[in-house]
Amino acid sequence: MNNDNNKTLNRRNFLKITAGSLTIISSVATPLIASIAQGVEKKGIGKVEGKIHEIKEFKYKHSYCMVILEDRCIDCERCMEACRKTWNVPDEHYRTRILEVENHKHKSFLPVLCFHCDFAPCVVACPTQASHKRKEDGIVLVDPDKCIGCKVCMLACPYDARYYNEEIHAIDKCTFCQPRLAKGLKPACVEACPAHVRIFGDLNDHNSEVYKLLHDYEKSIRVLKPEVHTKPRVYYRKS
Amino acid sequence: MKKYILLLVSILFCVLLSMNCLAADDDESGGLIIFEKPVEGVVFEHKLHSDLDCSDCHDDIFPQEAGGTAEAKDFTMKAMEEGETCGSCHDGDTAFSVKKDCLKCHVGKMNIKKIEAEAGE
Repeated sequence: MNNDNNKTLNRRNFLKITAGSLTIISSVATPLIASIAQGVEKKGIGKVEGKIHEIKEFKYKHSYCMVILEDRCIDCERCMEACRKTWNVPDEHYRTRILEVENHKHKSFLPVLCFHCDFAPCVVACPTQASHKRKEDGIVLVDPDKCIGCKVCMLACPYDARYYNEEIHAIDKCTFCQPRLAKGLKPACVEACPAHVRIFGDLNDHNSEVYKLLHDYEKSIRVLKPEVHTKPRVYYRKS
Repeated sequence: MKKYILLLVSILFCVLLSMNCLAADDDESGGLIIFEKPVEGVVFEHKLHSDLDCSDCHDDIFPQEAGGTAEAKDFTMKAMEEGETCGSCHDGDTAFSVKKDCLKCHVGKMNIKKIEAEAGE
């Protein structure tokens, strides 16, 4: 008899807790989503037209970007291995990965990473300013000390470039290998690629390979998901 | 007596058929080779080259022993472009050039996993 009572109580409690927590989640989430939407509107994502690098806010001391020669990737995954090794990325996650895409029955491989967008939705979404865009070089970083692991940035990122790292209890993602850049090295994935797919450099340097590749008017350049107007700093073109 | 002859003929037929099957088996011709050196994600299919004689490639261009080719010094894209190893046929005239159609051989690590899973079944 007692057992039966306990069971009904448990069931009732369970229902109460579920209903209560659902209410709390929805009451927290709704203003959060609304604030993201407001932030998006305020920062003008989707409204800016014209040349991005003429906007004062995006004139960096070093304008780092990556050009990916998309027809050269052979999915040997050396970049992924190098990235994992350099930054201790857990096996089930990635900071960069290779996708297989099919276009008019023509299959090809597409390396993706964090695009360090100039209008980064993750930075807008972050409630603690852990995700931030560096003013000196435009790199988007996550401060693990400030990150509360709410994963809103993961939802905000249109490119699925972020993951929650259980080991550091914070969101982690590609940093363009910023600590390596500080030492004068290239990003680990760029160095590991045997097929010269990833080219990294400073757009402010007009003699850099990236500048030349992006100003070769015979080849068209594209970014992924241009419709989200995030102005990514990773460009794709054919070799 | 007729029965015995019929049985004998049918056994003979079966033996011939099985021999034929064995000859067509992949293992007999080297089968599928998955290269992990110098880069991963590369596949060579003997079946696709079955219009050639074994002696066309072995042992002048490629050693016949398993794993020998991957260890060879001239098994690189640069050497192939200069006409070594695969490049001795894949020059754009005899067969498609090694400078183009990368993904015909470099099928990628994710597809290798699929091929291996299919082979394991």
